[in-house]
Amino acid sequence: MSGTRLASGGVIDRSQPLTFRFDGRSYTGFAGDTLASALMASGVRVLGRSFKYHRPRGLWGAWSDDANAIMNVSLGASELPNCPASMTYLEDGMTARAVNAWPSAGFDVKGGLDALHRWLGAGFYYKTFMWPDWHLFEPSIRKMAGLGHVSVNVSEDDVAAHQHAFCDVLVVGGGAAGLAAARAAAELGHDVCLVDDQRVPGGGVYQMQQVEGQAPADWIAEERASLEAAGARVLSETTAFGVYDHGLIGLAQSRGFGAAPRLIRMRAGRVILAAGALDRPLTFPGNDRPGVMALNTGAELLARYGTLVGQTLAIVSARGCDVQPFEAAGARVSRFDPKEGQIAARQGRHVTGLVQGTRFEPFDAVFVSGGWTPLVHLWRHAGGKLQWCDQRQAFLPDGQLTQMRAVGAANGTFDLPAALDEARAAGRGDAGARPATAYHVDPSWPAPRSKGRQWIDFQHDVTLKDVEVAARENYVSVEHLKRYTTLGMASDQGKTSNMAGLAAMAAIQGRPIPEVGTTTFRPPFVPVPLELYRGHHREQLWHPLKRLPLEPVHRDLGAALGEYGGWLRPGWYGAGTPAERVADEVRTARQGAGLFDGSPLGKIEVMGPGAEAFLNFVYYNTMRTLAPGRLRYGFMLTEAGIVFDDGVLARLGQDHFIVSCSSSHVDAVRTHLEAWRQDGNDPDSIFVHDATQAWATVTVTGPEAPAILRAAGVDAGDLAHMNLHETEWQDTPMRIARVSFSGDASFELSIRASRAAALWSALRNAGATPIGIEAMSIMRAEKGFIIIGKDTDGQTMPHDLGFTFPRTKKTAAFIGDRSLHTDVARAPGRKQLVGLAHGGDAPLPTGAHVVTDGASEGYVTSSYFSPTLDRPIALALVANGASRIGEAVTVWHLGTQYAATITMPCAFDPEGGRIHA
Amino acid sequence: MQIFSCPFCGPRPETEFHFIGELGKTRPETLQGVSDEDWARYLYTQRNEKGRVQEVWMHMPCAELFVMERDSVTMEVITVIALRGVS
Amino acid sequence: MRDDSARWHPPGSSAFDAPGVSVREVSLARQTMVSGTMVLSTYSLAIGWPDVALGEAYALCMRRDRVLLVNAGARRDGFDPDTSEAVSDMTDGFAVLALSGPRALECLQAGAALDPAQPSRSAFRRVFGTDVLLYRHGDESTFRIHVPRADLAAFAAALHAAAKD
Repeated sequence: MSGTRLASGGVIDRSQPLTFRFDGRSYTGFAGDTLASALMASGVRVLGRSFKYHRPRGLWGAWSDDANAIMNVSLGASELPNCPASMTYLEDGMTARAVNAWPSAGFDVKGGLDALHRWLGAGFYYKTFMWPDWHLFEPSIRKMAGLGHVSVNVSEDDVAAHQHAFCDVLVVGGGAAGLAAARAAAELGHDVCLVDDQRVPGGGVYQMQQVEGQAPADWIAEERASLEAAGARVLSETTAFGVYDHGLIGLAQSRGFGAAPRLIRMRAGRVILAAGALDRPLTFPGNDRPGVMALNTGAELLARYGTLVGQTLAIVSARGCDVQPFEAAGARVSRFDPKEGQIAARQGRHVTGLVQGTRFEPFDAVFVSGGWTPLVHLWRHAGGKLQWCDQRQAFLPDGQLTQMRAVGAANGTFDLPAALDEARAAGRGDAGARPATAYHVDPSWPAPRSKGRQWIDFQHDVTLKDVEVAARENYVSVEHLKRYTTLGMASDQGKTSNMAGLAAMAAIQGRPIPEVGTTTFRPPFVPVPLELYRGHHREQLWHPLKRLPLEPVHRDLGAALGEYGGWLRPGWYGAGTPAERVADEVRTARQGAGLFDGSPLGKIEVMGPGAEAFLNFVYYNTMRTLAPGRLRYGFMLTEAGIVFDDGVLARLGQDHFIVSCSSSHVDAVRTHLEAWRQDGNDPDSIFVHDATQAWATVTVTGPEAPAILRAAGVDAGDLAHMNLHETEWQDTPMRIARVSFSGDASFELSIRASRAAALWSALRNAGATPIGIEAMSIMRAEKGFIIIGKDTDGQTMPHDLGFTFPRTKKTAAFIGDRSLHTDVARAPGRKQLVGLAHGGDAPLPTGAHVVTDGASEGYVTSSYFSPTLDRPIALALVANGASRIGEAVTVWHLGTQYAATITMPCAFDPEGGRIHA
Repeated sequence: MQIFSCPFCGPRPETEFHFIGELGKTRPETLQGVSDEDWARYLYTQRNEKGRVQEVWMHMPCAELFVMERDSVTMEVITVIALRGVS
Repeated sequence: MRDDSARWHPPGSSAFDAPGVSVREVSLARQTMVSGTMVLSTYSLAIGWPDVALGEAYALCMRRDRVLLVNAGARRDGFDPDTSEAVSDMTDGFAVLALSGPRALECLQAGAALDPAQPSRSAFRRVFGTDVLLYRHGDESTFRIHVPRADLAAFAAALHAAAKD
């Protein structure tokens, strides 16, 4: 048999021939063709190989119901794996290769696997590869599994545009019912959007001889013109692939081959589902052979693509058929009635004829239909129920959904006049029940215990016998059946196979079909590329970092920028070995003055007459007694008593505080404060302003800091440690907090973000040396100062860190107070903050465990080489650590042991003299 | 994508909201002496109901804290009530 | 310890022109955040969505008890017992962009379910993952967006990507 492209007819443009290659050979199609239709028109019958047995596969479906013709397709620089040929529009210069076949679909060296089918039935993995060990077999099986391969040249640069959109009425499907519904709604003045997944809307209308007295193309053109004139939008090549919570509809709009589609998140007042219906296969021996295809496929190839796939055609249909178009195109057509006995395909590499009892006839192609299956996927996504219809032998939408209504073939209304009436009523918003129909299907479901290999899932090679094996082994629920046999797991997600599969299970068990039920319908309706969801969330927009006002200044200074707690911050400055640069910065800051960008530091202002009591409640420490102009270090706890954040609270005035929370934690602390403010406190007397980003903070630290400030014209007065001074610098308000994270005299200068560069420059000119966060991290570790979440974990309470006073002495209630007096909080063996000293030159590995008798007693949380002390230092959380100072312990990491001694956390200047210098 | 209604701002996508906790967690008077059992119940006992639930949520852009009654099966939002006054 | 400097483009100007849309940076003399139980009565014309702010001085509704005053007179930061209002100078806290052109709304809709038919009392909403103040300014097709300063680079890049689609 060979393909016959007719001289006229269809929606292809014969004036635009397109050349393409398939499995190494050159072919020609026309603009408007799909890859599949062009191959069929060129006489190619074997378009792919099945997943397991590598059986030759031809086209089953003309659109989204084909899982046989799966191809790697390239065009120019774009190569995409696993393209369904039936939905890939042909372009000039395309090269396609059938997946899962080598060297070609027509001749596949693994085709011999089919001879082993007796041993490769359902569950063969689980039964065969048990002994001695699955992992022995896994590599070779994995290599054989899968479909297309990803090209090494695959483009990462396809960015799917994302869009949010709205309409009053979304019509899904541009067939007869969809066009009619959209026009009716639009002409009432509704904002209507019609989506259709093909390039040329019209659905199956082109197969008809007349619609309401007009030629199909004329009728479609008139409907479309009218609805567009009424203001409706028509989105072609756009698939409604899923319905999500609260009625969100996902639309994937094609932007051409090789370009990522556009994702439109549509919110519609109501949805009219006019998605149509698919032909389902009949189950008979040889029903998988190339040349056996859906009746609707034969009709679509003729109507849309001007292609008659054979001169002699057999039609085996449970739903009737209009043979006139095929005969008019020149074919000889014979009908077979599935009720009159078991049918079998006579087969070579593709179908050659049909046998029924004693009747045999040779055919080029066999068109089959077990009846229409309405496309109810979106109805189910939206939570709609299904009911079984005996007359139609199909599951139909049942009951009402507030937002969605199914019409036409998707609702089981297969008669055109009734479908148009139903669709127009739905478009107008009129109520209406499903119309009666003369459509009738005699059951023709799989017959268990019959002879021959009869396919249920073409792509995944699930046969009727496999379903019988599953039933025998008690995988009788449809969900178990699916997973045991892989039935319905093909790339069409069961569009062709599920009905036959569950009907087979019903027949085997003697149960009615509705009692067996369907598997869950899940989005997406058709495969969509992952780029669709990713959109612009890639590279710098995948996990965007917050950016410092001083970033350009840091870049000019040669800063090594990296992520620290969600911000892009300087780790260190200058070229050279990073560790040496950092050590230099530490030494400079300890001996002279370091200049550090602390802008991310939290600056949450808490104001109002209730602020003092509120903060006293929020903090572990007593804050009620904090005087204006003073700073106090403290913890916030969770109600479970766990340390949530630490930082300095500043009091500017009676009703004005600033919470300097951890730089990486500002959003969480703000939310924490807002939640407690509004629930359990008086929100009318407490106001929380997160002003973090309005201010830049630069810290000058080191013995030379006071002199640097003077030289830069910063008026710090004679500010003592833990005091705050409000002043102006060059006519700009400035807040100076004398507080130290380094252990040296330090001044945190906060100024409007736009003035930060000028301040930084003045301080540099005065002699301060820029230091990065790595140097600051070492200096704070030398002092035993913690970083929450690094030196604490999800069990750390304040008394584990040596802050015991408020736990026993604070008289007011505070968040987490009761949790500090539970058995767990009092238990011996709590992990407490300590230092670790050891003899080696290299720092202990962070995360190494302190081990006694083979059990972990805690672990290293921070570990550095201290340039100040010229030896390694470490902080650790160790069981009972505070009472074990001086004890020798063993530290273990990945098989290596280190001898260490538990010390106080503070390794440098424990008396604290430098801080006040 | 669910649509929640902030009592102040109106309907917004769920990504603008943050779950705070189940409704009805009244903080015990910790200065009055609270038994371990009562405190543990306050901290850890969740009703986690199937069906109608009452929860406290925050609308992050405007920081409005409110009570939402919704159905944890159908995802239907039944009511939202501002914690503060009438919106 | 890793030097990722080269992996992050230095932030540049956020202004750009694309077909149907143009974005400009706006410099405002002052942005003042004011909270208080009565602020919505005091500033009863505070802009929400889809209100159109007119002129160069106006109030934006942030929440039930908070407004952002654009180009209002300077006030001292802190709690003002006379008005029972909390005041913070946020002039440098938000970068401000102006977005105009026939595709302006469409570009914003790439990053938010922004429905002109769905009013909201506050101008605060999440766009491209960032909480911003978004409102119309001058006319119905010109928008102003107040973006937290540290998030401006990411926001502008996302907006630019949307404009190029």
